[in-house]
Amino acid sequence: MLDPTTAKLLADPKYQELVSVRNSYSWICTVLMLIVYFGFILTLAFDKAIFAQKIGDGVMSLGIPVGLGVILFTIAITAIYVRKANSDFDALKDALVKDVQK
Amino acid sequence: MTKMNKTLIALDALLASGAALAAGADLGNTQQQATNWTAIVMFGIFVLFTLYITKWAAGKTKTAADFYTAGGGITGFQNGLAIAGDYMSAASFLGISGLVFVNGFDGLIFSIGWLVGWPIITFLLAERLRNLGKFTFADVASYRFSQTPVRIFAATGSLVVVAFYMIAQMVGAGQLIKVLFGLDYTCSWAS
Repeated sequence: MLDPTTAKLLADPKYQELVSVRNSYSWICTVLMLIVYFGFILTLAFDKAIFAQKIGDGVMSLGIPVGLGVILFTIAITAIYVRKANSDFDALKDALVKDVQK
Repeated sequence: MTKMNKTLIALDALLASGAALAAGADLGNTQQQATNWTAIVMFGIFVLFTLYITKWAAGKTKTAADFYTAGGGITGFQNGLAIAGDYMSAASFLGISGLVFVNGFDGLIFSIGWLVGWPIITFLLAERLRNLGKFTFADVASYRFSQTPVRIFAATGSLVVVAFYMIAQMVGAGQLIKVLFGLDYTCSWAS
C-alpha cells in the first residue's frame, strides 16, 4: 500500500500538472531532436546530391553548414530545455515539497 | 560480488591487451622516431601529477554523494568542464579531427551522431535520476528490481562496451606514443 505522504502527493493537482507538463516538454524536445537528426542523416543517405551542391564559387558544399546547423540546434534545444527545467520545473517541485511537508 | 567484478575486470584487461597487440601488425603504419627522453619524462611527470591530484581528491571523498556529484557542490560550469574533459579522448580529439581532415564532410557526420544522443538523455532520463536521488543507471534499476541480477547485468554490459572502446583507445594511444616517444609499438601500447 501507498504511505499517506505518497498518496497525498499523487492526489495533488500541482503534482499532476508537473508530471504532465514535464513529460510533454521532454517528449516534444526529444521528437524535435530526432526529426532534425534523422532528417539530416536520411537526406544524406538517400539524396547525396542535395548536400554535395557547392556554395557560391568556393570549395564548401552545402552539407557543412547544414551539419554545423544540426550541432548548433542540439546545443540550442538543450539550452532551452535546461532553462525551462531550472525555472519552471524546479519551482513547481519546491512548491510541492513544501505542500507535502505541511 | 566484488570478486566477480574483479574477475571480469581482469578478463577485460586481458582481452583488450590481446586485441591491442594483435592490431599492431595491421595498424603499425606510423613512423617510429628516435627515442625522445624529454617527452617520456614529461609524460611521467604529468601522470604522477594526475595521480597526486586523484589521491588528494580521494582523501576528501567520504560518501557516495561526494564520489558521484562532489556533494552537490560543483557549479554547472565546472561540471561542463568535467564532461568536456571526458570527451577529449583519443576517439574524439584525434579520431574525429583526423576523420574531418581526411574525409571532409563525411568525417563531420561522425561528430554529429554522438552529440545528438546527449540532449535526448537529458530530456528523458537526467531529471528522473536526480529526483530519485540515484547516481547511476544500475542504482535506479536495482531500486526497482532484484539487486544482484540487475547489477551483474549492468556491470557485464558496461564491461563489454568498455572492452571494445578500450581496444580502439589503446591502439590509438599506442600509435601516438610510438610517434611522440620513439618507442617500439609493443612498448607503446603497454605504456
